[in-house]
Amino acid sequence: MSNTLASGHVWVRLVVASLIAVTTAVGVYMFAGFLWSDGGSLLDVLLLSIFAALYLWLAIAFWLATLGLILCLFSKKPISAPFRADAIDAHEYENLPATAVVMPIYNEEPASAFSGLLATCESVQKTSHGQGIDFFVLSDTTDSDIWVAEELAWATARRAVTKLDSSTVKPGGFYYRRRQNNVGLKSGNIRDFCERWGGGYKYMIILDADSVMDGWTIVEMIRRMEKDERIGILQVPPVPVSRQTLFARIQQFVAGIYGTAYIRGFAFWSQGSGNYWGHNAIIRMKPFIDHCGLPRLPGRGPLGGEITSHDFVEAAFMLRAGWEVRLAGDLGGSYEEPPTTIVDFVTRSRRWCQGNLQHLRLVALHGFHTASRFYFGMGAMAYLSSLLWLLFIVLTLITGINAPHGEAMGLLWMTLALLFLPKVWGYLVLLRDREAMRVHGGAGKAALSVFLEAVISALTAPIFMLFNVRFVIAILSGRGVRWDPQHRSDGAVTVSDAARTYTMHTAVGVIALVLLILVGSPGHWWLLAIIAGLVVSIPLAMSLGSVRVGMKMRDLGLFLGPEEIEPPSVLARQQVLRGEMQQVLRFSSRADIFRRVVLDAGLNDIHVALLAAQEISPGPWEKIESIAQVALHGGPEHLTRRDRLTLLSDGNAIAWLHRQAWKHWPVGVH
Amino acid sequence: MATLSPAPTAPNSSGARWDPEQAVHRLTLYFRNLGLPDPQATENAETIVRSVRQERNDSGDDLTAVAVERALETVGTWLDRIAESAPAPSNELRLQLAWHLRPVLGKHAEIFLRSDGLPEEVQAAVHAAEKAVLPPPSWAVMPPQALGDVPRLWYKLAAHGSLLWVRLARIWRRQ
Repeated sequence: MSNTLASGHVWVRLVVASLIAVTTAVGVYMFAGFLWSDGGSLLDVLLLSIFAALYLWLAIAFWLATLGLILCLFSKKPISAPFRADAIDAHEYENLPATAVVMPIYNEEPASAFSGLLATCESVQKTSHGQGIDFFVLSDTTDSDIWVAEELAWATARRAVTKLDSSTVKPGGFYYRRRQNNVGLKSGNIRDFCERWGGGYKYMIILDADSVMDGWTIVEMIRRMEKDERIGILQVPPVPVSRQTLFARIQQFVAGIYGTAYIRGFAFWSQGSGNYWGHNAIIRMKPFIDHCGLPRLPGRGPLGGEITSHDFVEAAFMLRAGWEVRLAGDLGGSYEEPPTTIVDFVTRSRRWCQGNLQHLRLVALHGFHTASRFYFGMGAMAYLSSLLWLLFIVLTLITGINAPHGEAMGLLWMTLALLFLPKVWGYLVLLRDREAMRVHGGAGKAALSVFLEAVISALTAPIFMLFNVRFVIAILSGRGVRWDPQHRSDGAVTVSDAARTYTMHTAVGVIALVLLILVGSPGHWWLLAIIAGLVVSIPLAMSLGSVRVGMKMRDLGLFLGPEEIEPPSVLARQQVLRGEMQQVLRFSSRADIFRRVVLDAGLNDIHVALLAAQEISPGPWEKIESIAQVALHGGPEHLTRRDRLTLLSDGNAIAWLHRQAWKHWPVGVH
Repeated sequence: MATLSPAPTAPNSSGARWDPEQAVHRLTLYFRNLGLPDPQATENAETIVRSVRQERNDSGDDLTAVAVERALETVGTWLDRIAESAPAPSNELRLQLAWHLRPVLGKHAEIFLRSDGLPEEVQAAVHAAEKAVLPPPSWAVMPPQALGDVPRLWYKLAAHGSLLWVRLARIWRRQ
């Protein structure tokens, strides 16, 4: 990067920071004038403080999106233009250094995870630059049945990878390792990989269990790391794809429309001091090993102990060590699958919430880059803002503030502009690019989708607010979260599920509505905008979680995205592989899975080989014999999940069971 | 998939199972599970059961159990021989053979129990089984990073910021 650009970039940062500060100051000034129009109190000061924090949050998002809009409007390259490897000198892709593509998984659906990694592996192979790129599934799975399914999926995928060997370039390795003890959760899983194999690779590309990446994106990431030796982490923003519920389709549409401007703005603003989102990123192995080992936070409870959201902290350590963390917003070919229902979304949020609140303990610590402090603060604010928002509403009611009027109307309009203009910016970016507009359904339908998205997000906002408030209070009061796997497939939200989950939301909404009708004044009617979403939360959650409604929207040409109209080959391939993998992994019962690993000579041997390769020694036979005898004489149905896990963890036991079961398990046909 | 389930079967008068048909059926399932098609699966099952019957007739042994043991040994020995004839024999290769040979046994049933003169496709399967389950370790140490302290400046900034905020609020109120 030239000095001119670097200094120009500093100016852009200063201008953006100034605009954020001025916007916040103007908002606060106007609100203060409104607050003190009839005297003031301590509560008013508190209210103003909360308002300032929320307004700052809003202003940051607005100005980064606006910066992105400007960049998109002045860019010579249309946003729909894909990255073209043929524009790069082919020699730069030759002899790429050893790279590991790793996918940490934890009790995930194996068909989905392995089909994604296999599609990525095949796509890399098609570039003819896949030699030296190895693929690892790093399992932390604790469920014995999923463990066996993972091994079966891996062995099947590996056989498919072997077939790629007939081409001119040899494919890299395709490996599977499962930890017996998942110390340190996901970051511990990656750490274990780094310590065991890290010395053999120059780079590591981390994928999530639902990630898929195009082969050219992967080799281009490696090329960029080779070209710029200052980069420690290069993040390629993942685009949500492939889900069919209305909720998922909206996320996919939002990422396609508003995400583009925001990502470009953020990438330009952050430059070499960007952030890392935990997956779909390439990491320079040596500095990562040397400088990014996570410590345990002092103390116990949710805010102490293991750092649960590792990504931001690893990026902060990388920056602290003098390396750059960059966002490759222009690259594309990076995908993930979004949560399909509100419940799936908040399940993930709850985990992130704990991690992000932990980051508050790091904000002020010595040595971190200012940008890292900003990301820590922003991450925590994503959840704290809900609590602040609720407090703000309650305090406005307590202090008797009614609907804005007179001069305060200006503040209302400014706030609405900050909230909704980024959506308009996204649409403006589309208007400039005919191709992008076409794949989003055309000008009219894209505009209608933008409008509907705004309405739905307004309705769901209070629902998320209440969930987040619960999480924040639970975590701050010392109740941590379990490490639950994310539910990653399309499903349906039943009436009973919805009623169970959203009873509290509905009750709060109905009570607030009744109070509003009974004791509210016309000045309180603005609260209806918040109450409405809560009152209809059950039917709303069911509609959003419905594949049928999602497909109906697609048939109407709403919430469309480019990956749906013209699916990239890697995604199309993943869908095929997923179907094939689901066939392979189809079992009638959990006992059937165990029966398979016992009886199937090939799978039984593979299981033993995997245990041996990880040097997991068999335990004393006396300890395991009684469980093995139950399995032999009673069958897998008589084993608990723990029993199955014990047997599977012992290579001798599972090999013994194979021989004995063929002799003694009576014949049946399934 | 044809397999075994823990449903009860009738033992013979001595308490052990001595039902040749059942033994053949069970062994056929085993060979099919290895990837061997019919009629080879049945033929091999019949051959083994026949030889066991000749050797152990009226011995009071469980025919099925003995036949299965014989089949497992025969297959094990065969796989051992293939593994040993590979350029770099290893236990890991041996343990991957059954899995990788299964898809090719359907097409090349004649190679069952043979270890020389293997067709190209079978050799490719053996070659696939040679690949390590996991790569050799290349150890590194990833030390946990030290977290710094909170600098005094931050406390000062927080204190001064709060004071400034309260003063600003007072000024606004006066206005």
